[in-house]
This record gives sequence, structure tokens and C-alpha cells, in this order.
Amino acid sequence: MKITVREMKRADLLEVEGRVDSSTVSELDEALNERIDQGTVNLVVDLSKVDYMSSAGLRALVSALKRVKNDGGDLRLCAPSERVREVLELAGLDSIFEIYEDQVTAVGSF
Amino acid sequence: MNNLHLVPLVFIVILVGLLVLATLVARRQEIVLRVPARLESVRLLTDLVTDLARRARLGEEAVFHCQLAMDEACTNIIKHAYANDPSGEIEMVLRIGNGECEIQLVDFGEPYDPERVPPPQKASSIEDARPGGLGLYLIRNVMDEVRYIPGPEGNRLVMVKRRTPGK
Repeated sequence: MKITVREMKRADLLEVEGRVDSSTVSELDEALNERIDQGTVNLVVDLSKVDYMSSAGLRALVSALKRVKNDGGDLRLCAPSERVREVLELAGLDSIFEIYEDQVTAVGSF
Repeated sequence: MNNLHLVPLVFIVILVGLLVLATLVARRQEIVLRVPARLESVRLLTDLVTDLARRARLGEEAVFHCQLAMDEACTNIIKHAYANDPSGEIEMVLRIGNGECEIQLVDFGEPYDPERVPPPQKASSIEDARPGGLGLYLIRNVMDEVRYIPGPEGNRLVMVKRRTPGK
């Protein structure tokens, strides 16, 4: 898994690439917590290059969402693949995340 | 006595035998594997089921569901049955063919009653979102059959997925 962080004016953007499962999720957890620890409250996670996500990835996203919401911010998702969207829907978590079609719209939503 | 006239017959019998064998192999493939109950093994098993289910033309959606179920079930065994003890083992029996994929996972750790694991509630707000028990919930949602048989010779989880035409 590869994660690229871009600091934008309104939010930090995390571009995630590859598989997010129980053996790789610690990298996503660390990247998200590092941004939040540094005071970022608005996050966009680009999932367009994530080809597979298990419940481990969902837990990391929900945990980060709870942290930023507590600080008055939000974590928004953009461009999940059909498979990732299916996992979000099956878990009933699609309603708690704002999901956008692309980076520009997601970052611009803040 | 000249048996040369039997040569074509023997050849045909061998050929038919090989064809029958090849058909049987193509119809139903069984793989048994025992791996350490560690996160590194999960990728090996998910890659294996993905590859074989794809070769058996199960359909991309069913292939993804088998991959997800294998991942979630192995992760549950490692975290819950063995409480992350790396000396534990998982035995996998994978049967693929006839438009069906059957995954059996046997662990020798703590048994649990899946009926007592409550399904996560549909989260309408972030306060409701409790991702505990998600793995089992996803498995039940994506597989056609899920059975759990605890026993003194191991706890067996049986998951079956059937071909989804056109998907």
C-alpha cells in the first residue's frame, strides 16, 4: 500500500493506493493519526486507487472520522471503486461518510 | 502372437482415461493447506482463493466475495480464536468447481458461538458506528452458506459461494 499526503488549503488529501486489509491497515491508521495529531481536522481520503478494502480498512476510517468529528472537522471520501463502495454499503457505513466523485469536489466541499 | 492390432485400442483407452481425469480435475479441485495463524498468511490464502475462483469462472463478483470472506474469516481466527498467538495454525480446505467455491477453515483455538455475535446496527450517525463484529457480518452477507461447527478436533467454519451469472 502507498499513501501520498497533500496539504491543501481547506483540507489534507490522502491518496491511498493498493490493498487495505488487516496486514496493511496499520499504514493507513498511522497516516491518518499523524495528520490528526498535527492538528488537521478536515481530511479527504481518495480511494480511487484502492482495489480492495476489508473491514480492517473500514475500522481505520471510522476511527479517524470519530476523532476529527470530535474536533469539529470531517473526513470525506472520494472516488471509491465499485468493490470498495460495496463493502461500505454492506457494512452500513456509506451513510456516515460524505462520498464525492473526485478530489476537486471533495476538497472543495469544505 | 501379434498384438499390434491392440495398440490403437490401448491408445484410445488411455486417451479416454486422461480426458475423464482432466474433466474431473476441471470440475472439482480440492486443495488442503495448513498455515501459521499470522496476518502474513491471510494474503496467501486470499490470493489462492481469488486465483482459483477466477480460473473456475465463478464471476468477478463471486470471486471478490470469496476473497473478502476468506480475509475476514482468517483475520477473525487470528484475532479471536488465537488472540494473536502466532503459534496457532489454520487448516484450509478449498473445493472449487461446478460453479461453486467451498472454503473450510479449521482452527484449534477458542471456539465461539457466531449466533451470539450481534450484527452491527445500520449506522445513521457517527455515534452509532461500531465496527465490531463487522467481519462476520460481511461474511454472512456475501456468502450463500455459512456454517460453524465447533469440536474437539478443531472449530470448522464452512462458507459456500455459488456462481453469479453475468457478474
